[in-house]
Amino acid sequence: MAVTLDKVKVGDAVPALKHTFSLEEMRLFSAWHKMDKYGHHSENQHTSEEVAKKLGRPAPVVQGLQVAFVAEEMLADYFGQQWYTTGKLSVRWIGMLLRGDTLTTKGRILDVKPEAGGTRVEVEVWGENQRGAQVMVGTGSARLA
Amino acid sequence: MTQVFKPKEVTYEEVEEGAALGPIEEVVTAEDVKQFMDSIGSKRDWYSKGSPFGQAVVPPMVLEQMANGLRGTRYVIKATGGGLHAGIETEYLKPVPVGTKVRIEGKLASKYIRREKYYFITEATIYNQQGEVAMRYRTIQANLPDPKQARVR
Repeated sequence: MAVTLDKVKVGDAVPALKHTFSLEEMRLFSAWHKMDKYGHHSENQHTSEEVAKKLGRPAPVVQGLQVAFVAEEMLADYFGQQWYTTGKLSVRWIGMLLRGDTLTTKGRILDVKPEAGGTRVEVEVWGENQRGAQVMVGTGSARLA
Repeated sequence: MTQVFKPKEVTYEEVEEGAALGPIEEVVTAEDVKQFMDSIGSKRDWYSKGSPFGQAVVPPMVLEQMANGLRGTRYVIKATGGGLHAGIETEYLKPVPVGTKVRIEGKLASKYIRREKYYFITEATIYNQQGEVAMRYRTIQANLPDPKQARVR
């Protein structure tokens, strides 16, 4: 059930979302055949142990966008329909997740401010690995009526 | 008509700021959507059965991943350490129904070097089948001249 404006309070936590990435899932995301004609290879650092090692990674790296996908789903759960028509996301990656790592995306209400058509609710967003280290930081927001 | 791109392998210096990228045109099918949903274990019915928007809609991330391919329509960057995402900024305006065509076009907005890594900013606009702006997307991609520059926490 999506949040309503009367329930939003600065400092409140957004329900977290957790996901452990298997290599099979990483291949689903990063070896999408439709990307082949845009210079991407299905055998890459996100899908292949061999390529990852060649590039100096200890294991296949979860693609940053796949990490952000979990954060987007957390915000879609929270904001509901409004996420798809007024949502904004800005994140940067400060560390890598590897095959088998567990991501937990978290959020906290940063600001609530009026804008044309409603009220924008801004959330601090971050992702942690299973050791509690942050790998992604940023903000997400949507306009509520 | 099948799109054919012939990207050039280039050095950082050869990348031209302001260069047009794409366009990418694709129909996003139910199979595509399922593949992405399965990649994070999503069970959201809005992507597969129906949504408050009238029919199943494409997870925005599918479109971001497509937009991520824009740079590859023109350039392959020479960097032995490969590439990593540094950041994204997205704005969602209109959900895209599953089974419809999208068109993505953009430009290589800027480039810079920081801590001996190459950074490239791509700006993209994603249009729905009616030609309306469905999403705006900006990505910062880093390329590592040396494999030792990758960082694990």
